[in-house]
Amino acid sequence: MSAEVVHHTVTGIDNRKFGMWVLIASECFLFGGLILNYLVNRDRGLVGPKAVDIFNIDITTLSTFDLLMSSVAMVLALHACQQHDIKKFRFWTTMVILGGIIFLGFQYFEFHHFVHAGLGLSTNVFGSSFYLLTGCHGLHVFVGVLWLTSMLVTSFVRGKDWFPSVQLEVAGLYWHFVDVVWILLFTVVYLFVYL
Amino acid sequence: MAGKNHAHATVGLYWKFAGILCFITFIEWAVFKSDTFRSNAKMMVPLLLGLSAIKFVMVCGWYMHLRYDPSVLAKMFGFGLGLAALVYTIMHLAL
Amino acid sequence: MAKCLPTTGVISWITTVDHKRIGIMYGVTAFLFLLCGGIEALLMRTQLAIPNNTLVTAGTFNSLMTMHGTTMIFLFVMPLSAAFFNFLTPLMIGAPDVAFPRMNALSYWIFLFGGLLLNFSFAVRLAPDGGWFNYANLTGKVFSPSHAIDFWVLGIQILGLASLIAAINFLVTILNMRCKGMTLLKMPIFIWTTLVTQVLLILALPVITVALVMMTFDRSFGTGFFDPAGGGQVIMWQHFFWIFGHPEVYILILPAMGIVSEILPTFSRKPLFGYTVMVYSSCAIGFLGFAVWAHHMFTTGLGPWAQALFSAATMLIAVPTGVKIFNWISTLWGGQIRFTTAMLFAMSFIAMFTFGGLSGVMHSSPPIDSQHQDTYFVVAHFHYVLYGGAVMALFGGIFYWFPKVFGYYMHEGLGKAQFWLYMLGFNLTFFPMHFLGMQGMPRRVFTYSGDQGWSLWNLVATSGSYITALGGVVFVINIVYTLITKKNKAPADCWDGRTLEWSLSSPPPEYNFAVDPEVKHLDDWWHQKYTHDGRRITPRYQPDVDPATKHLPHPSFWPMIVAAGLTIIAIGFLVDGIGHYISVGGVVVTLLAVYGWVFEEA
Repeated sequence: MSAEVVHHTVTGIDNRKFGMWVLIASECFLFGGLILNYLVNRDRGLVGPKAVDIFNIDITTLSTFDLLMSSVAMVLALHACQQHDIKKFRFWTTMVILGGIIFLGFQYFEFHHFVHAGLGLSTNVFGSSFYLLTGCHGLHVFVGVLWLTSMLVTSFVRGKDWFPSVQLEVAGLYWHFVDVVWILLFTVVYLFVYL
Repeated sequence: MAGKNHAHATVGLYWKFAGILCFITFIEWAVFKSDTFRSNAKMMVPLLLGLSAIKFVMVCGWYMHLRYDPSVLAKMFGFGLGLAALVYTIMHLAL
Repeated sequence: MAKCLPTTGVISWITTVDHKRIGIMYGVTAFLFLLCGGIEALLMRTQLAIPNNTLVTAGTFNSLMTMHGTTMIFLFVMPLSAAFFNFLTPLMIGAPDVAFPRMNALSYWIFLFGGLLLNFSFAVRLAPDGGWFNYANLTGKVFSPSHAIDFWVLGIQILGLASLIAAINFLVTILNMRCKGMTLLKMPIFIWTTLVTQVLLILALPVITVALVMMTFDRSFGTGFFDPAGGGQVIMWQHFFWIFGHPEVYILILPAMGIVSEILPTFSRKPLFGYTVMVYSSCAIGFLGFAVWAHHMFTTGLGPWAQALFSAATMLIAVPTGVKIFNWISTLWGGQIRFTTAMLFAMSFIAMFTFGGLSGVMHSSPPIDSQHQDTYFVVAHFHYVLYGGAVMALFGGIFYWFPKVFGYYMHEGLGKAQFWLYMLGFNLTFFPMHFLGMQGMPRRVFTYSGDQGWSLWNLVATSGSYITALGGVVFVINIVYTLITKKNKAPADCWDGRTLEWSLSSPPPEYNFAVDPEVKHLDDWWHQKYTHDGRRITPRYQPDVDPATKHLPHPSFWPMIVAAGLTIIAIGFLVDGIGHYISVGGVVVTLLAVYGWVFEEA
C-alpha cells in the first residue's frame, strides 16, 4: 500500500475518497440501468419459471441481514483503525470479509437452486436480466471481499503499527455502497415479486 | 471548509443503527409474509419503498458519514442518483 | 524498481506518469487514428463520386462507414480532447499534476490498446459493419454471425473504461487540486467545460456499459435481451445507446467550446464576454444533454407525450447554445483582433457550429425529423457541428498551445494555407449534402443510380474531401517542418495569454510550478501583466528550479500491464475454442498487475 501522503486539497477531502464517491455516483447509472432492465423484462419471459415461482424470501431476508451486519462490522473496523486499535481493526475486518463470503455463499445456493428449478441464464429474459443484475452485484461483493482480504493480509505483513485509515475508509465506502444497492434490490427485486 | 477532524458517529450509535436496520428488515419480511400484502400488493409499494429509503439514508448518511463530510460529496452522489432515477423513469415510461 | 527507471528514451515514455507527456501521447495517438478514419472517409467519398461505382463492395462500405464514425468519435475527437485535458488542466489550475498520475497513464494505455484492438479487426477481415450505433437486432447473432460485431462491442467497452477512469481523475483534479485563491468562478472557462464534460462522461458511460454487457451476453451467452422471439425488445438498445449517445455529442463539443473560449479573448485582447453566463450555459447544456436522447428515435413510434417532451427539451437546449454563440461574437466586438491561424480556426468554429446548430434545431420537430431521418441532410448536420465545430476548434487549440507544449511556434503561413484548404474542402464536402438529403439520398448506401439527380453534388462533395485531405498533408508538413527546423522559438507567454499556463516556460518543466501560484482574479495572469488602466507591468514568471528538489510521482510499468491484462480479457471473447482460457489469463494478469501497482511506491 502506498505510504500516507497528506496532500492539501481544496475541499479538505482526500483525493482517493473523493474519487470513490465519484465512482459511486457513476455506479448509480450502472445499477439503475440493470434494475430498469430487470423491471422491464421480469414478466416478459415466454417459457420457464417466473419470479413468483422460485423466489425464496426467507433465505433472501437472511442474506440481507448478513450484508447489513457486515456493514456494521465495516464501520467498527474503520473506527478501530482510526483509534489505532489493532486487535479490533483486524477482528472487524475479518467479520466484514466473513459477511461477504457468507453472502456469496447464499447467492451461490440461490443460483444453484434456480438452475435446478429450470431457470438458466438463457432460459428467458426474466432469468437473463435477473442473473445479470444480481450477478453484477455479486461481482461487486466479490471484489470487495478481495480488496478487504488484501488489506487484512497486508496488516499482518506490515505489523501492528500499520493503520491505513484512508485506504480502509475508501474500501468501506465501496462496501457500504454495495450494501445500499442490495437494500434496493431486496425491495425492488424480491419484495415486489407479487406486483 | 471542513477540517480533517470531522466529527464521527460513536460506536454506540453504530450499534443502535444496526438494531434499527435489522428491525426494518424484519418488518419488511413480516409485511411480505402477511396476507394483506398478497391481496393488496400495489398498496404496499409506498410502504416498502419508504422502509427501503430509510435504510438507504441511514447507511449513506451515517455509515458512509455523508452527514459529517463536506456537502460536495452528498451533492455529487445525490445528483448521480437523482439523474439516474429521472432518466430511467422517463425511459421506462417511453418504452 | 520504480526509482531506477530512465527519464529519457522509449522506456521513459512507456512508464511515464507525467500528465504533460501523457497529453502528448494522447494527441499523437489520436492523429494516427485520424489517419485511419480519414482514409476510410476518402474511400467512401471516392466510391460515391460517380453513380454505380464499384471501387468497394457493399459489405466493405458498411465496414468503412462503421469504422469511420467509431474512429472519429472514440479514437480521434475524444482522445484529442483528452490530450488537451491532460496537458492543460493541472497547468491552468496551478496544480503539480493530476489527482491520480498512475491512473492517468492507465487510461491512456487502455485507450491505446482498445483502439488497436478495434482496428485489428481490419487485419483479420472482420471489421465491424453495424454502424457506430450498432443497432440491435441487426447486430444479433442471427444477422451478424461473425466476430465483427464483437470487435466493436468489446472495443467500445474497453475505450469506455479508459474514458471513465480519466473522467474520475479529472473531476477530482479540478474540484480538489486548484491553487490558492482559485474559486470555481475564477477557473478558466476551458476548465469549466472540461469539468462539465467529465460529469457527462461519468454519468453517461455506465449506460453504454450496461448496453454493451447485454449485447455481449446476447452474442456470447445465448441470452435474448434484444431478441423479440424470446420476449426481448430491440428498442431497449436504442434507448440505452442514445441515453449514452446524446451526452456523448456534448462530450465531443464542450471541450471544443472551451478551447474557442480561450482563444478568442487572447487574440481579441478582451476578456471573455459574459464569463459567468458561459459557465452556466455550459452546465445547462450538460444537464439538458441528458434529457434529449429520444430525438434520435422520433421515427420509432415513441407516442405523443414522449415526442412532445423530447421535442421541447431539444428546442430548449438551443437556448444556452445560442447564448454562447452571442457571447463569442460579443467577445470579438471592438477587440484588437490578431488573425493568427489559431484565431481563424476559432472564428470558423463560430460560423460552422452555428450552421450545424441551425440544421440541428430543425430536427427537434418530429415531423421535420421524420423527413430528414436517414438522409444525407443528417450527415451534413452532424459534420457541421462535429467537424466544422469540434475538429476546427481542436485544430485551433493545437496552433494555440503548440508553442507551449513543444517550445516552438508552428509556421503561420502553412497554418493559414491549411485553414483555407480545410474551410474550402469542408464546405464543398458537406454543404451539398444538405441538398442531397433534401433530394432524398439515403445515408449509408454504397452506391446510387445515375438517374436520381444526385451525381453532381456527390462529385462536388468528393472533390471537397480531397481538398481537405490536402489540408491534412499541409498540417503534417507544418508539424514536421516546425519540429525539425526549430526556427521560431516561443517565449513563455508567447501569445500574451490570460491563464496560468503562460507563466511557465515553454515547454513547462516536469514539476510544473516552482512556486505554488496564488490567484486573485479571473484571468489572473492578465491582471499580473496589466494594470486596470491598461499599463503593462512586469509579471512574475515561474522560475526554473532543480527538478531534484521537487517531489514527483515515480514512473511505473504497471498501468500498461493492467491495461494489457484488460485487453487480453476482451481478446478471449473474440477467439473460438480456447477463448475462455485467454480471458482467464487476462484476469490473472490484471489482478497481479493491480497488486504490483498497489504495493509499488507511488
